[in-house]
Amino acid sequence: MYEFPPFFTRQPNEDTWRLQLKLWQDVVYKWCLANNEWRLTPSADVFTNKRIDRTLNIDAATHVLTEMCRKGVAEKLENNETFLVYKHTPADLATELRQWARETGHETSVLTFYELSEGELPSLEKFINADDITLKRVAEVLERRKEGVAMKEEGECVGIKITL
Amino acid sequence: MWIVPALTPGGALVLEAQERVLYEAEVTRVHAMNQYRQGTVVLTSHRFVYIDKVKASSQSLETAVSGLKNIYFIKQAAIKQNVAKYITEENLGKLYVEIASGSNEDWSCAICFSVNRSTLDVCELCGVKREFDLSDSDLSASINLEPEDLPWKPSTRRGQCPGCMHVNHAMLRNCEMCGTELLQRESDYNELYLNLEFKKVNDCQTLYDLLQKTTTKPELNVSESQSSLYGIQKLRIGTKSSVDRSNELLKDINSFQQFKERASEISSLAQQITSTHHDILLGASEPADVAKQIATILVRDNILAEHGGLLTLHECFAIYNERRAIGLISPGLFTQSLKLLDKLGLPVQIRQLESGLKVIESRSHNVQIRQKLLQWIALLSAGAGHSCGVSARDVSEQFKFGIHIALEELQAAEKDGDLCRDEHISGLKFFSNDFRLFRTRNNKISSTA
Repeated sequence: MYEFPPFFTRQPNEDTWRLQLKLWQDVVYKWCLANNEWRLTPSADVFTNKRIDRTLNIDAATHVLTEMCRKGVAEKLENNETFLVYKHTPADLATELRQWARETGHETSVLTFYELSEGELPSLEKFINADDITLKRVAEVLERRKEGVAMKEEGECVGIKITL
Repeated sequence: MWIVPALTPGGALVLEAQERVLYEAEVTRVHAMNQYRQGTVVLTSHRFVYIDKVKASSQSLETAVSGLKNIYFIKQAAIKQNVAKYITEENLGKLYVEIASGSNEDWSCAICFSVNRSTLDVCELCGVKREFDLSDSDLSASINLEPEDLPWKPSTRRGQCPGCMHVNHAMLRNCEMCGTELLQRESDYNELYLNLEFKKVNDCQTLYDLLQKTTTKPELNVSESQSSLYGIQKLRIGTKSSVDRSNELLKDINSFQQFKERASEISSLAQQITSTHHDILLGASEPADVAKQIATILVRDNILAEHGGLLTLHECFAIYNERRAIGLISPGLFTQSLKLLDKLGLPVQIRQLESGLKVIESRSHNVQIRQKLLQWIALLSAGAGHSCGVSARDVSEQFKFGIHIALEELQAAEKDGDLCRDEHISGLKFFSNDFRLFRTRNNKISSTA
């Protein structure tokens, strides 16, 4: 797909464009995974294929990233054009964390972001190297589900407390 | 305004001097009386022309040289004395020229009464020489006051009685000898004379000499003039030339017959050519007839097939008119007749493409084109081993479409999802829509996973 020149042109046909959009999201995620780089701008390297000399223009790239945000697999960071692509979506993580807490008896205990991202807790590989913002979103999801509370320190979210 | 006198045929320029000229003539003849005027004097072998510097069209004068008489060259000293009030320069030369009365008017031929211009010496129509009625003008000659010390004597005395030739005093109305009524002043107005004043005496001298020469050699003038022959001599020459002419006519008729033979050869050749190629369409001026002819050409002569099954209307118009060769039809009639294609049940039809471009195509042709196009692109991709794009130009070359039609077809296919585009600096190319392939593949993956 990445070698297909029309892939780098926004297709005027709406049906084709929808297919193209899906494929692009897939490509972006895989690229992030391969490069372990989760912050992207619309002019990121992923949108250019030097081998076939094609670049997806910025409008279309923004469209792709915005679409990802809409689906909850990415997030637009404030004050700039950078997008954060979630390696794992906050919703998935929240579910997993909740389940883990239930299975391992960590309910009602406080888990700091540091503990989670440094891998100090067993069998929570998905949280290793996780972004602070992602963790914050996990906390927010848990709060929304009334399964946890975000722990704050000096106005900054630093941990999660899983509730019953 | 600047007027340059054109030479009459056979005339030759004798002298041209741009000098100061003084008109002294009667009011009826020349508008400017007793006024200094500046201008150019041109003397040709036949004419004496004065062109006024300021009012060339109204104040200029043209007269035949033959009409000039009594030319006097006035010495400088005399001028100084007599015309002193006009003179500012010291070394002026002055020329007094009398012009025969009537010489500046159109004259009628004594034989055929045709009216000729004053500059012609010979009747234009019959070639008879003009008769100068000099006796009259002599009779009515100058009553002008002439200075006593001018070195000439007028030809006829003022106040001379026409009956007894007694010379009366100028102011008398009747002859003091016989009582005959003397000529009225009005009649004197026929007399016209010029006072030419030159800045340089030399110019004056040369003009004087030349005038003398030209006027005293009338035979030379006649031989130079346009139609110098008249009378029996002319008739003789006339018959000779008519014989020549009939000879030439015969020659012409012969060559014309040769030409006719050639022409018939050419026309038979042309018929052969047309019969071997296409019929030249003739005559049809009714929309229905035109429509039928269009359909006939497009289908029978495989025009549509040659152009990939589609023709834009202007291409079709051009082809049709090319076939007609003569009596071309107007675009209006063309569009009118195209409207009748469906009504008459002809095998071609008009289709409007996405952009509004109208094309003419065979009725059975519509679907085939798309399939051919897609097959061709697939074939190209298969041959190259990867997806291949085609531009509108490629398509137009492959299928002999017009380039607009090619683009229209590609866009239509894109709209239906059969193709997708690649916009690049190198141009717009269309690829087969592989997004669909990838989707099915992804679906398979996701379903298996």
